[in-house]
Amino acid sequence: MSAETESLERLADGGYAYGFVTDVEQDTVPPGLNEDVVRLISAKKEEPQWLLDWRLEAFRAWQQMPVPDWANVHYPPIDYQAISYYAAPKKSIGEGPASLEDIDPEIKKTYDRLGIPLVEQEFLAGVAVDAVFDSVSVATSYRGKLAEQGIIFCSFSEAVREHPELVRQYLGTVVPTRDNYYAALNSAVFSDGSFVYIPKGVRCPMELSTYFRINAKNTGQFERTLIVADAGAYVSYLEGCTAPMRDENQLHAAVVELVAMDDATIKYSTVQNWYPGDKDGKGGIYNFVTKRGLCKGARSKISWTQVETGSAITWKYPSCVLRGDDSVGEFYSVALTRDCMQADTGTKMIHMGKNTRSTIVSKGISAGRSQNAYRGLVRILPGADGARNYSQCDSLLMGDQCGAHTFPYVEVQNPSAQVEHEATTSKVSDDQIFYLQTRGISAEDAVSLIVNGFCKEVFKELPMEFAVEAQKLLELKLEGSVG
Amino acid sequence: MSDDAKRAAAPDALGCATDWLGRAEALAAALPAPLRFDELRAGARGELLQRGLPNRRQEVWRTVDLNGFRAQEFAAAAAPRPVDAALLDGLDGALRLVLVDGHYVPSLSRRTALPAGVTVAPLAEVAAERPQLLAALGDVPAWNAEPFSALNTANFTDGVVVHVAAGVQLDETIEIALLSSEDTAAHPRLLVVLEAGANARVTELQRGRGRYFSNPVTEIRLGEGAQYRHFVLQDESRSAWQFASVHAELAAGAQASLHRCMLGGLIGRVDLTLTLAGAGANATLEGLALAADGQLLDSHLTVRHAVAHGESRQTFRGVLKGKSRHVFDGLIRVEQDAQKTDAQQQCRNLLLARMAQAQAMPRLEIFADDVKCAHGATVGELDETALFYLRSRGIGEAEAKALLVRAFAGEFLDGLDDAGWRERLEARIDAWLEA
Amino acid sequence: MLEIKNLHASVDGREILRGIDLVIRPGEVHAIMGPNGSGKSTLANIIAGRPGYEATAGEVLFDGKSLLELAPEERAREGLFLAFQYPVEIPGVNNLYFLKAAVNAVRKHRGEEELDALDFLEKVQQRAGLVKMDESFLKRPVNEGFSGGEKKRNEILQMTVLEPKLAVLDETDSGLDIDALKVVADGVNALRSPERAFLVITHYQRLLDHIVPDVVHVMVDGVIVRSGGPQLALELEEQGYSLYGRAEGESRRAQA
Repeated sequence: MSAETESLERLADGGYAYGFVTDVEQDTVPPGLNEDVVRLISAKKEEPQWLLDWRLEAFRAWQQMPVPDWANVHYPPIDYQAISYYAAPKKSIGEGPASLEDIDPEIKKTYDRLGIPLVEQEFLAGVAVDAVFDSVSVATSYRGKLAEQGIIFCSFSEAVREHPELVRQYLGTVVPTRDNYYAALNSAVFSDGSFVYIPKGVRCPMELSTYFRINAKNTGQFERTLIVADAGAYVSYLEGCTAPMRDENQLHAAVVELVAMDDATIKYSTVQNWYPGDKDGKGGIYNFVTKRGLCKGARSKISWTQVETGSAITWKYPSCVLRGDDSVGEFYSVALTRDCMQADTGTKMIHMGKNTRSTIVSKGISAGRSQNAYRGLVRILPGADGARNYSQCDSLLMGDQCGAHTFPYVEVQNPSAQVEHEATTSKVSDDQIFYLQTRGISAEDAVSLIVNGFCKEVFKELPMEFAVEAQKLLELKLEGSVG
Repeated sequence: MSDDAKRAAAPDALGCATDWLGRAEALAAALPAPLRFDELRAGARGELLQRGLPNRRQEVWRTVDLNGFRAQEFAAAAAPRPVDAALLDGLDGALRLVLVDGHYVPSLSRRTALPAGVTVAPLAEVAAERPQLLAALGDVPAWNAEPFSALNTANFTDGVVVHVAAGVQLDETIEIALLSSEDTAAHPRLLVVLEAGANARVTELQRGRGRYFSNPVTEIRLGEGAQYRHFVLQDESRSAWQFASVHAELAAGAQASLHRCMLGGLIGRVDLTLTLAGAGANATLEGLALAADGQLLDSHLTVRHAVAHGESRQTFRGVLKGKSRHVFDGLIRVEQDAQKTDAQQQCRNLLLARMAQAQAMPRLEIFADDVKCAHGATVGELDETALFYLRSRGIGEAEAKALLVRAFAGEFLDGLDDAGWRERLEARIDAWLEA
Repeated sequence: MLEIKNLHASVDGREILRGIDLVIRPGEVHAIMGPNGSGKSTLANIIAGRPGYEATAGEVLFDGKSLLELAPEERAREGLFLAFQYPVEIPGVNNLYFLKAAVNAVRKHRGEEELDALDFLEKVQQRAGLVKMDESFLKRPVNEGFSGGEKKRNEILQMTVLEPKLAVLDETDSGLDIDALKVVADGVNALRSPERAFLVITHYQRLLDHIVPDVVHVMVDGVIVRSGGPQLALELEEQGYSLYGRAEGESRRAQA
């Protein structure tokens, strides 16, 4: 496709350039959810009995749980029997993730179009990619190079086969099966995802990245990611997500668990660009995700950075449990909503260990008729002597039909803690735009300049290539929002 | 199904040892005609029956465990019981209305000649003599979310009415005392109506002895450009339960300044809803909670900006010692039409003890784009550096701490325009720190 | 008046002072000079009793009493004053009120009557004039929103009101313009008397043009390496600390 056609298409799509469908033969389980479906998923993946039992326990718990209704989002009840819980491109079934050469050319083209090369040594040299297509991982690059240092980076299914002891040791330890409604659902039916293990003292030499793509119709995506950084290890991980444009809503209910041992650091970045639905709110992904990191060891650090620009509804709270003394949790977020999008996102920082520190920087941008909420909890438990938290939540409103909300919860049970929360709400002022215009900058550029300035503290936390991407993505999303 | 039949099916409809609904129904039949407010009270009983008392699964009630309260039996005092006159300490003006156990007590009250257009009188008296002044009573939008407002509405027998006609300024401070005696439940009702351009101020004292339940509801209606100041000293007994509600509505250009100092109660909770309904209205809400061992002080504030050009400030401070808890849950809601709103919200907590626990939920819900809204929350202990600085100047450790706590509370005191109360509160803070 | 013997001190377990000996008699002005990180401010803080500063060996006697045993406020009541390098802001505490509480705490300790509000105000106003401080500062919270120079003036004002026996000035000159510097010096000189002593800690010689010391000490890496008359300060100004094995303005510890 020529660049020109592409940009025209973008205009027509209201800025969503990733809405195409890939035509591949799919192996799809019929819609519906019961114990047999759970058993079928487990059987397709040739899982050991303990994992099937774990899934079934989660499924039974899920059936007893009420749908959470506390978030500031509104949508008709989801019919869980109308969703298909498993879809995989046919060619990849059986032998596990294909070697890079064996990937279905259609799928390879898909990722090329998305700007995610599955070929090593190309554009994103120095970034290893695990590509998840609907329910399965289709390829993982740079595996050999990483293995030299003992780093495991593979699909979740493969990890279950090749490293069952590691998976069993950590799975569900950060997000228990009964943690919440969507986590329980994910635990029952998760299909694939990424697994990362960084051994003691190893600094992962490249960015690890997973690219999630929903393609099939009427399916949900339920991936599971588990990252373990052993003592003194370091890893920076990035995930990206897109989906085709469809009129129906599709459910994405992922679980991400991070474990950082003594002196380990995990940096987890997300650029989320699921299909947000059309201008009138038709279609789009329901992004109901549970992400949590456990700073298990002393001086460990977990840093979440997210740029949320897509999904009809976003419901996610990447959190840190700061158990190790002197451990550090960070949350940097930009959430942009436009048209009819709804976002209720934020974080939880649970301070358990002594001298634990956390920082929260949240930037919400609302445009159109969208609703954008920050919801965050800072809890200082009695044992967390000397704990520190600083939170800053800023909202930027563009237009008078949207809403910006801030719901912080601060709970302090230790007098030596220092907790500070600040929040402001502002708009892109006409004066600011005018001032920039008098210096020769177009109104659109002025807005993106102002918005990028507003988001700067978050963008600087992203790995460099992705910071540039995120900035571009934001500009694209803001097109047509001025006025 | 009739109310009776429903209750027969569930003998303790609200799950309480005290039969609140039965009592309310008996009362409804026994009240003199002017005080009946049949429709209003039936509505409140219906709400209670349907929704019951709150539980912790409800977001705004998740901070309070009501099981202790449910187990309590409280007597309905048919008449006021004698109380210790010392409970009135601090009220020495010429205009003082005293309620004991929810009943007006003439012998403890002082009435003075009032300017034309001003009514300050017991509610039962106003209901009998000038019922037209009570038109606004119970005109509360969404009180179903506040069961304790409904409980008061179903059970009040008396209260105080303040009515100031347009353009009239009342210089005398209106003093109101809500006193409670042991084992009672009281549901006093306050109605304040200031017509356009009127000006008045109220000082309200809430005190009692022993174990009891205090359930006051205050409704405030301010007309265009009216100016109103209301200072509440919640000084209930440390074994008391208090669930108080305040509903205020401000017309264009009205100014309300509501100060609340909270010291008492095993549980002391206030649910305050204030709506800026007219352009250019201005509200200041200031709170100071001093929570000692065993206490929960719980403030839930909603400030709603319904129209443009409103200004609001919420500043709540908590000082906590012992095993105590302070909850601040404040919401600023800016409706879509409320452009040019300037709203701020601050909650600061000072923890003086290991077991003390502070919870702050300063919330913003904003639907208009051209607004200035900010909020903040801090929790911390006394600043060690400041403490050392003071000590290095020869000030003893205890006094230095007291100085810093007083400074922390100072902005609240500065907002009081009554020097007498400022001094009394300063002394109370010192005594509280030493106790 | 002040007698320091073989004082060792550490902060966060790191030894900063490594054997200080110093005697200051009534009426004397001593200056301690030294490169950054040499331990000058640590000495000031140890004398004042700042929490976290631990004397590990030696003693500090003030009029024969051991200072190290005393709480900071007790030291102040005994007549010790520290002008802070970084005066802290105390929001909400009124400057005048704070000063009155301090003055009366000292007077009470000495068995003197507490000053009444009028006498006190008169005294403070007179002293405020001396340090050229606008009276409006008295009504503001302690140091809050004060500029660097205003904070230092406020320190000197407190000193002139509290009339200590021994005043320790911890880099009071840093960050001051020449006018503010003169105010500080005038404040000190006005208080100079046969009964009172000063310990002036500074990095630069220029303050000593205005407060002429009786003795100058050079401190490097936690020990006093040389003592002498006022001319020593001038020598240092010309030659720097290189004579003592240090690059200009730097101590070994600061480089590390």
